[in-house]
Amino acid sequence: MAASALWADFTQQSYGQRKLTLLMIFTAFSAAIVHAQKPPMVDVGVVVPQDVITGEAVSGSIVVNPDGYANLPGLHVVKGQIPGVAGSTPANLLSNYSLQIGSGAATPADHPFSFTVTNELPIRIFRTGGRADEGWSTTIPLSPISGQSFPAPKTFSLPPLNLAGALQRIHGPFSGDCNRTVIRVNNLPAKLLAESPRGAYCFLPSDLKPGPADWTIHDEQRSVRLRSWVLALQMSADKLKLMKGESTAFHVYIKGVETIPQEAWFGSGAVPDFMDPAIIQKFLPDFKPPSPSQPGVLVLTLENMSVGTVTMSGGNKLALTFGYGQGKYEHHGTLTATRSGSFDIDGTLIPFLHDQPELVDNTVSGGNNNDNVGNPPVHTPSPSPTPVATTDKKKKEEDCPQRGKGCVALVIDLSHNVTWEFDMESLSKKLTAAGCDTDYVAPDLVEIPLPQTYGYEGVASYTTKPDPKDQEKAREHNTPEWNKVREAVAKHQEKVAKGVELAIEIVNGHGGPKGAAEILACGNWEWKEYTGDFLYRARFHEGNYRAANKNVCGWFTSDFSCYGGLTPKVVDELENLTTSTCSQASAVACPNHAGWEADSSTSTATNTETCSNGSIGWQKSYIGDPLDAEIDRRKGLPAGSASSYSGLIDALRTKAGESSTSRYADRGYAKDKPPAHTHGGYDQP
Amino acid sequence: MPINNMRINRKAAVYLLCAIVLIFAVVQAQQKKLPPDYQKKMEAISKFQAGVVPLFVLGDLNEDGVVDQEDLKLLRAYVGHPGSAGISCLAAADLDDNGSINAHDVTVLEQVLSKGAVKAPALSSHSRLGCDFKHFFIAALPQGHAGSPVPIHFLDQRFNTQNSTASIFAGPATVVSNHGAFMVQVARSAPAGTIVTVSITLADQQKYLYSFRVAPSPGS
Repeated sequence: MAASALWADFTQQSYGQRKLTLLMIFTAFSAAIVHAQKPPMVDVGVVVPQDVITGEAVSGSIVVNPDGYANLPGLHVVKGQIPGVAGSTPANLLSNYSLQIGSGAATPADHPFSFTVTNELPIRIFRTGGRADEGWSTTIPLSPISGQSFPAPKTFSLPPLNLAGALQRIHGPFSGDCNRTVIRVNNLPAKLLAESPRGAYCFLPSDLKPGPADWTIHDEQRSVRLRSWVLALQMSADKLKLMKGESTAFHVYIKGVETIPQEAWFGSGAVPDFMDPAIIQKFLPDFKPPSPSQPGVLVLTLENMSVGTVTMSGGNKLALTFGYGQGKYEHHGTLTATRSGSFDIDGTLIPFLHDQPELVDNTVSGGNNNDNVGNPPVHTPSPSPTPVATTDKKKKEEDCPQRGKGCVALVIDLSHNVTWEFDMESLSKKLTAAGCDTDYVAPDLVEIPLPQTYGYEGVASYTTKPDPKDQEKAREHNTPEWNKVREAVAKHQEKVAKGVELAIEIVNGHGGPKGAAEILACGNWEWKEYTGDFLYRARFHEGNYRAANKNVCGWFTSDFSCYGGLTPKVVDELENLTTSTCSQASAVACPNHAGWEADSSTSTATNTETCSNGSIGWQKSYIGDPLDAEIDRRKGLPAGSASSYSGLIDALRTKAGESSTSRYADRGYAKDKPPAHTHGGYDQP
Repeated sequence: MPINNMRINRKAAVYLLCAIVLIFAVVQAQQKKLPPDYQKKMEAISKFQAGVVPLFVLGDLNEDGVVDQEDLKLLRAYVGHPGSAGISCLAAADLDDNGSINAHDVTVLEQVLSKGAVKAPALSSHSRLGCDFKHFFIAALPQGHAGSPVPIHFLDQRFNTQNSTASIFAGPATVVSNHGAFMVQVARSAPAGTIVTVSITLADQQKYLYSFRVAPSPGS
């Protein structure tokens, strides 16, 4: 049998989660064994809305997997048990039961029920046609609020992306009575779970295909139409069981994204319904949901649940971000077995897009009452989201939002006062001459005296004993010098975050290799023992990335130090995975790129080696030459004329970003299609 | 395109790189307090690993290659009336390595010379007080790391790894010859602060001792 993936939808509560597993086979066998014996008691639950107000009509449902609803915001779940029925499955067990609210009429237990809110909900579930005691009765205390604590929406809206068969929350002025509500998606019925006058929960039809989903909501006398898009998350691996040391490719495809129109690609500023913020925090600690004025994103998280068996390329926890017009919404990686066995990879798709409003050109029979409820026009955010690529060739291509906003540069020259090392003063002057607002910081660091042994043959060797006062004096001298560096970094990041066309950072000094401690994963600059302090590469570049991300047209950084390949490595990681661990393999996730048209990073050394002093001297030309060309070009411009740095950005990406001992370069979040990443001089885990 | 032209272009590129290094060196020479012929010396250093610096003979104030009474005389004179007459390497006078020249340095040098002329002087990398490097003959890293090599390079063409020797005088390290340099391999287990001393005997039989500290791991 050809190797193929086996996929199972374990849950509908977590948006778009899929698992790759062999364990499902065993689950199926064990289920068959169980059914051959006396049916056991089965957990059930009563699900009702939390937002209940005395006197209002609300609706709920009986469910067979109550734990799956326990943590869903907006829902209240009360658990109980009923006897299983021989030959039934969880899907049809409730069809054998009826329910009764108080002394009302019995209704099928597998249909939603409605009731008028009081202080409690007496409910009885019993076997249809069975003994009276065969079932479960309970009285659910409610905490109704008599006032108007829950704001009543005037219009309907729903999240823009859905998954076939998954639970969906719709905000809107519903009646609360499920008997009066009909929801259809692409003309297929959506099963209601719960409803209040402020919103409804329903399951999408399970056989929806990826692509646009047209919703019609009929409730009492009104009908409205909405549009969303159904996605499918498909994961597969070439092999599902590996021998120790064996590898397999795995593939993740997000289907249906390409049908989402540009106007839907804006953030909401919030975490999606049913998504635990802790999950996002786990994968993307510094992630902030994009606001309604910012481009929206899809975040795909992949987690290796079998870390004892396989390792996943890029790390065991991956978060990939996708944006509008990216072309391909997929990820391909490698799993390598550390011991023989099967494996389990979790994939979760988290959309950070704004809710979809009612459509105003409503053509649903029966009309709608948009005018009566003050329905706003179709959401038209401003500014437009920046497409990764446009498919409309007739439309004039959008330019970088920061075009014409100038260039800012930071040069940290830790070698300026070191006799036998090249400094960056000349490069700093070139940056200024090229029109860049340049902060050049060259700390005057003195060496803290340390014990040193000198041997003279024929006489006793001696070891110097530095005076603690001299050591303290050196530290006191160096502290304000280090403060200058930190202040310059903060000032630079502040300037970049305001939006500039080109952001540049250059560091020259003594670089350290990757260290064991997490904070030293990307090494550091300078030694605390000799100068009293140091800079962490990872923190420095991470801060610059956060400042530059979507705030620049081009971002360039260069590291003139030993083990400097850790700089392009961490930039590669930040640019695609938004993390800075220096332990991830290169990945491609272009929406995470900081710059609109280019990002590049270079170093004079690899990430595992030192470099020659001379290489620092001559590799300065990789930056100096483009700057000279920019200086010459600007000399030819009329005084005061606005000028773009596009040429310099491109030159830094091509000349510097593709020539240095180690380098990373991409073509920015808007232009990297197809992705064209240059990387070299640093290893791949 | 003919192959010959390609070769010519490659050569031109090599010359250009050398020229660039030289230009940078000249520019820097104008901005720092630097020894004579700095650009030439910098060019020689440029071939080596970043951080490698030329070494000078500690106590050899006039850089005549030996540490003797003449140096002690110069040091006493300097301490009495600070001035650098006759001293071409002030850094060599800072025997206690505290960044200044004073009576304690005189005491140290007196002790060093108490048994006569020094047979194997110490080499130092700490040239922050300035040095002309007239005796520009050897270069090394100022410190090492556990598990990493510390290269010792020859700057004087008369010396090479064939006609000169290097061995460990003290400390947890070994020495090997590699690509025209001696590589002092510091033991992985070497604790931070440990001193490694290497005995270097040049082709002219002049012997030197070079000591360096094992630096702590990065960030510590």
